[in-house]
Amino acid sequence: MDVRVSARPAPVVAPPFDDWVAARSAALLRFAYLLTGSQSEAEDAVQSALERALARWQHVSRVDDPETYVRRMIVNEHISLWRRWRRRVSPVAVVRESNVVAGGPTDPAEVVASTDVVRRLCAQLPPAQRAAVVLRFYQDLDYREIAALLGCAEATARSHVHRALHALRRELAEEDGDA
Amino acid sequence: MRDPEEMLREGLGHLADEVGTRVPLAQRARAGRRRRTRRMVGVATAAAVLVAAGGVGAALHGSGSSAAPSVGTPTDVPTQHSVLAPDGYRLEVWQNVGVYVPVGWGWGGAPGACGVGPSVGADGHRLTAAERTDGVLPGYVGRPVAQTPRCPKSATQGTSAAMPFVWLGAKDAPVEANLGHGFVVESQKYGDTTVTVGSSDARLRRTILASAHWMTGGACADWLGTPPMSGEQPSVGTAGPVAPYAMTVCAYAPAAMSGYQLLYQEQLADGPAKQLVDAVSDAKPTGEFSCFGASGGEWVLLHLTAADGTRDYVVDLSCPSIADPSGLQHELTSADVLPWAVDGVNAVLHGSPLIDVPGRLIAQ
Repeated sequence: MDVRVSARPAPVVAPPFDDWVAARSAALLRFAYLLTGSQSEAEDAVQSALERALARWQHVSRVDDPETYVRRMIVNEHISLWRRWRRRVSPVAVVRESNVVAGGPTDPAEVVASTDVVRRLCAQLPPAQRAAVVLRFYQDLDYREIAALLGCAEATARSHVHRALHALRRELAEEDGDA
Repeated sequence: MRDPEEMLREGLGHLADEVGTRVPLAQRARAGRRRRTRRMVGVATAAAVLVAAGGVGAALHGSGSSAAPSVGTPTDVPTQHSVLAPDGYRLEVWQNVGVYVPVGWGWGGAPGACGVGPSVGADGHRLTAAERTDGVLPGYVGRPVAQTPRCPKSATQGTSAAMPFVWLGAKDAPVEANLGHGFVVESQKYGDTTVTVGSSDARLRRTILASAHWMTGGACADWLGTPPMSGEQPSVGTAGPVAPYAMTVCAYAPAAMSGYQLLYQEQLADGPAKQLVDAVSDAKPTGEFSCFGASGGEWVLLHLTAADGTRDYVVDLSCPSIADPSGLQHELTSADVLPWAVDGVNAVLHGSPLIDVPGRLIAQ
């Protein structure tokens, strides 16, 4: 009897991917939401990044910080999508119900007002600038890390953040002038 | 004027809290990955599937194939199948690969299970030791799933060597082996899944192997990190629940490493779906004794489709109970089990001795 035995089937895809996603998906979605300003675009960006991470999970799961790796994918995905679709899609900011609790340590009205200012600012920023702002002030990364994530020079990362802060100061000054 | 940096930190934190985070991202990523992989596999695979779908019918109706089942036409099977399969064939799914097999074939184990051979007939009844070898069963579909908590000797012995079979996901299956008297075993791999066909009919072997195709986007995920959950997703614009017209059965058991592996899936028609809804509505709530949030053991997700949306019932076989779409747990009774414990599901689930359904989901 001529018997050729096939190679043993590859092991099932490593479940740690699902465990890792379960543990980090909320943080990744929050990050993607700040980048995109849209629930659906955030989900798409994270899903797309995770699909690519899944394809190389044996490698990705072994890097020092898989989350940074995936965040970089999300940033790249968002920027490349924006380049592809800009001027064709104009996301409209969705005003959500505030989570601020009345009587909390901060005046709820003030929190809502300042959050809306930040929302408007983010909506106006080009994606790379917006990503730099999110990485600097939400992720608390230094400029070297931001530059590495965005794939740009450190000076460029500083410039992105500086321009965003300048825009915010201008807007706040206009508001103060209106008041 | 407030400090812009402080304002950005606080504002971004509040904005981030707006996003909904209960998104099944891992499942969506896996599904998306499979779609990409399928696209990469390309037109050749799609063409093979189409050819196979046509070829299967031709194989059955055409040449008087000796291995084509002479018994077990659709009318011999009591289950109301609603899947569109070629005439005389039914769909079998393992992980994310589907394959068409003759509808008269039974179910059983494959290499990797504790027993190799048929254990359940085409009508879903458990075979006796004599029935396993008497040649009445025209063939069977084997999965590498333990058929009972303890392997009975009868499940590993006495299988007719000439009985045609399809093994799904068999480990160490031969690529091609001639077992003598013209009985040949052939295997092909689809991703991580091996499909193996044994038959003395070369055309049947080719036809079955060629019918293997990727299954994506169905109601049954091929792997779950946690036990399935009940729930409903009603469509907008309809008033009140509408009778279901289909029910997909997804049977899960703990996977080797972690999570839950899809063992079996089948789509049933409106009759069983309506029976299930009625039976569960009549079943008593579990009351204080509840296994809510339990994990481990075998689970069955019953995905009902109606004009007004979908509803998922979840059966926990280790803590016999069934959760309705609202999440309320009911005692599992024979009436709750009978509508869906049909066909091959009886070959892959051990069941529970607490479920008194003769011949169904009872470990022998």
